[in-house]
Amino acid sequence: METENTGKRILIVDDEPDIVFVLTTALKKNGYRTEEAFNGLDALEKIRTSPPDAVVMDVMMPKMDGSSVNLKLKEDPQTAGIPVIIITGKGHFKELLDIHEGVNVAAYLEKPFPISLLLEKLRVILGGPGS
Amino acid sequence: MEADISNPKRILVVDDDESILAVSTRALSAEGFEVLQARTGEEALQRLEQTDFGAIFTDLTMPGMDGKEVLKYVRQKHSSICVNIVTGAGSIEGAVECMRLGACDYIAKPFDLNELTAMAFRCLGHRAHYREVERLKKDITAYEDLDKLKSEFVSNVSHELRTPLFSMGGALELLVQSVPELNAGTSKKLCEVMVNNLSRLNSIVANILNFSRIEKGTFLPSFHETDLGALAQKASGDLQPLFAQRGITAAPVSSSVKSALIEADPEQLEQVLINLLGNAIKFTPRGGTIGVTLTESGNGIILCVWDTGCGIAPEYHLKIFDRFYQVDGSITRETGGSGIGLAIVKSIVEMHGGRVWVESSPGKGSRMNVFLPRSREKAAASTGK
Repeated sequence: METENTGKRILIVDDEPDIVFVLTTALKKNGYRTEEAFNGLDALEKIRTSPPDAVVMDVMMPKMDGSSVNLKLKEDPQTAGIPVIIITGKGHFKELLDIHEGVNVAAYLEKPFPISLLLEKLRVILGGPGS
Repeated sequence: MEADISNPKRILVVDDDESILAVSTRALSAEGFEVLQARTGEEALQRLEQTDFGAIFTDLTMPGMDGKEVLKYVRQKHSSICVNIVTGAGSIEGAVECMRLGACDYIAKPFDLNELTAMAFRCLGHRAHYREVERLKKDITAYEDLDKLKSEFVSNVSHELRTPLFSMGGALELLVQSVPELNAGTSKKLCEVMVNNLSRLNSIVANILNFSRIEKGTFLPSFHETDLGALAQKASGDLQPLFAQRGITAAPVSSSVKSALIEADPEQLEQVLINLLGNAIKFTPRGGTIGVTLTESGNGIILCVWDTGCGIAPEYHLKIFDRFYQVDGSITRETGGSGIGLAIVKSIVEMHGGRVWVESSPGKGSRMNVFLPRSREKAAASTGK
């Protein structure tokens, strides 16, 4: 589905550059603006400096894992409201790492998932790039 | 004598009555038991500290430390020793209480000496069963540990597989939907993502297959004349896209050997190189350097893959070559990995008559060294295998 660029800014965080590239390409093509981070600490800095409209974030990453970044965001009233979509290759991390879909994360996707599913989640969470 | 230390036929008899000590000792010795005596509970404890016994016969009522106290002490400190209680006539209650506390059996004075020796033989059986149970418990613990490692392995491998699958699946999904709309650069990059991740998947699958072949014992090297220098260059070249992506410099292969030709299985050694280089890439941050050197060493060559990465603490230098072993969970979480790469390296190198070791300390990079003999005959001579 092609849509107009509405300027919604999404931060993509993954230590796999290929994954960041693929997600960036997909989101841009669907009308989002994107930013990139390759580790948790970098992500946290970028979010604090310039809060995006949503964060799409891996769990297993160097420096700080995605679940810790998420918890830090939720502690700070400035960033608590930013929706976070967790994408991970390790399913069982969900319970171990305090990730609760609909409670402290907006959505939780296990790799490999279809890109269309991520776009669908973003559309629901952000009210669609077209709105 | 060393073999005597755990003689199950050694028995301690504890009694303040000399005549009981004498008759018991005579009867048990006649049946081949080695008998030591103690006249008080305190003396019994001293004996227990010095020597291991298969069984104890202790009087219940003694001045000072009584039989019940001796029993409690043995149950706490020497749980494999059978304790038998010898009671005076009419004090069965005390014996029954001791049975509750873990005594093996009891006998009332005056007793039939045949009954006493029969009890001693029953203790031998108890002791054997006890030892067997202990051995099985140890086995079970070892299996449980291995099972836990295997579960972690399956979880790590599935993560390893999912990551390149996701990159490829996503790239393909975008290409299929939108080839005409994407610019040539983006299309080309999406194709590269698929090619690179496909080769990553292939190498994970190859490692898993090789690992299962090694476990089955069917992964035998097929020896050919092999140019180790050329192999090192090829492996380093094949990984170039990964080096570039991670921002790591690959130093040119440096060799000080007259000839890099050895008798080896080139495919297996390629796997060794890929695994060592892949490992170095995982643990070397952006801006670091990784290189390969070849040096002469006796009747063979030392191949060294070095890096400027995070290094490995000395306590892990041997363990990292164990199958499924990962230095610690948090590093695995950060860098991924299945925990079989270095175990495969070790198996392959040993099948070539060589050996592998690491020189490293935290923060100072690592040098993974592989010694390979030039020929199979020399391999036999150098390892003594």
